[in-house]
Amino acid sequence: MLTSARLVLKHHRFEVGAAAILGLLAAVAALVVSYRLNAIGVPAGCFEQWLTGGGAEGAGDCAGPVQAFAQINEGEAGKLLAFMAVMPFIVGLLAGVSIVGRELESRTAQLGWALTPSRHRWLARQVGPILLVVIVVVALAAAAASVLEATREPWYHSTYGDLSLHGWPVIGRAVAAFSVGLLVGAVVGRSLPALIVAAVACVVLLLFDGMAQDAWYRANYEVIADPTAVNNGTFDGIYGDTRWRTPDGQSIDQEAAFQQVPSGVDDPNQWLLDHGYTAVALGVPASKAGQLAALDTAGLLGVALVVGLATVPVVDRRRPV
Amino acid sequence: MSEPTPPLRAEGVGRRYRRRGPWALRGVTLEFARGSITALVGPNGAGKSTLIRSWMAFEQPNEGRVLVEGIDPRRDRVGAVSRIGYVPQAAALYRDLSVNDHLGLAHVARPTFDTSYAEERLRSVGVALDRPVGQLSGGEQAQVALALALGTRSPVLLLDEPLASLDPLARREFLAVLVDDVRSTGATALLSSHIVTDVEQACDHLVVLTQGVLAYQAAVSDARATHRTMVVNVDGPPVEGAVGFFLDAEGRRVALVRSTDPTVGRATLEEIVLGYLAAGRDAARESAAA
Repeated sequence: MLTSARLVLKHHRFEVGAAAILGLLAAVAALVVSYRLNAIGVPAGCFEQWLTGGGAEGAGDCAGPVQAFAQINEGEAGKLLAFMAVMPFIVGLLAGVSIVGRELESRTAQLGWALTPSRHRWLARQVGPILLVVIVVVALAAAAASVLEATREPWYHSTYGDLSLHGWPVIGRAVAAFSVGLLVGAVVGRSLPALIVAAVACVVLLLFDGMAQDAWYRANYEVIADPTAVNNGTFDGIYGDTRWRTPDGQSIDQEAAFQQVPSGVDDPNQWLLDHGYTAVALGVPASKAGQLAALDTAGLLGVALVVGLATVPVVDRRRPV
Repeated sequence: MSEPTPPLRAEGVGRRYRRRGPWALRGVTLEFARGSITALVGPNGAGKSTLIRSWMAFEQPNEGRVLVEGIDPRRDRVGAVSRIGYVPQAAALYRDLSVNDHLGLAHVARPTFDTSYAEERLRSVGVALDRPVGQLSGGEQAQVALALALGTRSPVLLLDEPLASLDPLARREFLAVLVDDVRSTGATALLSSHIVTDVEQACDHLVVLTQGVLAYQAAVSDARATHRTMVVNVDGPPVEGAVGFFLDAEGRRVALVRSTDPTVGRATLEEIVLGYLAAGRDAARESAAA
């Protein structure tokens, strides 16, 4: 078992090595940036002042540390988290595509399939160690990104905007990309074309993931008790929509409410408030972010499982060329 | 008493790669005697690799079936392939892994793989076990591929044009190792090549494929005993028992004839193959013209 894993990793060392370096660099960079943010030592009260004062420049005595914090937060931390959006896909695809794709391309599948009469066993032996490396490396990066996320926005429990950029969803993305790469590599049989096709497939997967997240938000909207928190940026959660309650108690959307306002009125919001309408802000509180992260990860792992299993019959029927 | 199961058998095998495309193999029925070394000869595109790959379950015949020790690879791939030691065309090895790594890989893949036997075979031909395969010569790589096949201790050996890229000395060494192994283990070997002189010294049976069709099959000794060649004129009378016509090195038209006439010179194995290939080519031309 260990011999098999060693040889598989040795054979795929360039792809696995590149993926591991990428993941580990992301992890180390996240911890370094997090350390630098912490090292500024912004007093806790300054963050509230920053939020309510309209930005770092209006933070009074806190201006110096808050500006330094904001600079790193919007610069290095922001870029690093943006990298976390693509890192799991790069790692997963690099590792996944080569497993079958490169074997077919370099004609070594003939040898592998001649020596191992059971292709299922052959596939399991190839996938196991490489997937393990991917999960470990991406988990380290995802955990480090969670540390960074908690450091850069200490006033939130969790922000939905960065939900996919740290923690479990990152692992889900990497494993899904790995499976997509594995399947496409087996179908296409050439590394580079398979990498391109698999990358496109991952973009489609991300679009569907975004749609699923939007549907979850809509299904979980709650009335925000203090609507002013949405405007001053202190609402701990994600703002979704503003609806209006009519004087007779009906709930209508913004567009329908504005149609009630006579033409020529300068401030339609004020007109609605003056005429007995009540604005209702809807959003999802931060306390539910964990639920969405878990669902997102489970969904992506489910996709990874289905796609991974679909690779089995493909390898089974594949002609080594 | 029932007939012993032949180690390799093909029953009316047909294979084409596109639904309405040409047949790569058509109606091939063959079987091989246990312990034999058979040369599977034919020009490029004759269907040699397709036939060998069918036994390996790399190809699925559209017609007929192939059997390995009585097992159809389509129904029991693991059972069939585990009885075969295979040397693929152009030694498909992991270039960045060492020879030792390959032996380790083979042992993981097949726990019955005889590592010490394979090592011994490789040492005997001077292959360094700790070197990456990519740094070995073509001949050494072929020896590694052969050792991997022989180390499986399989009763059937399939070798798909293993000599194509080797120099004459490497060919000799390769065949010597193969023959030595087959004679000592009683395995059955099928060796494909498009040049009969490559394999003539090693093989005791001959199969000629041309245009995807079985043109000839016999023991080498029988083939030599029953074929003669004679130089003929293009506009001369028809030659009785003629198999096919080809040009010799001096540009003369030669007829391969089925005959045991002791007064006529015996055909060499190369001439026998040339005669059958020419017959296949002429038949294909007539068919295309019709």
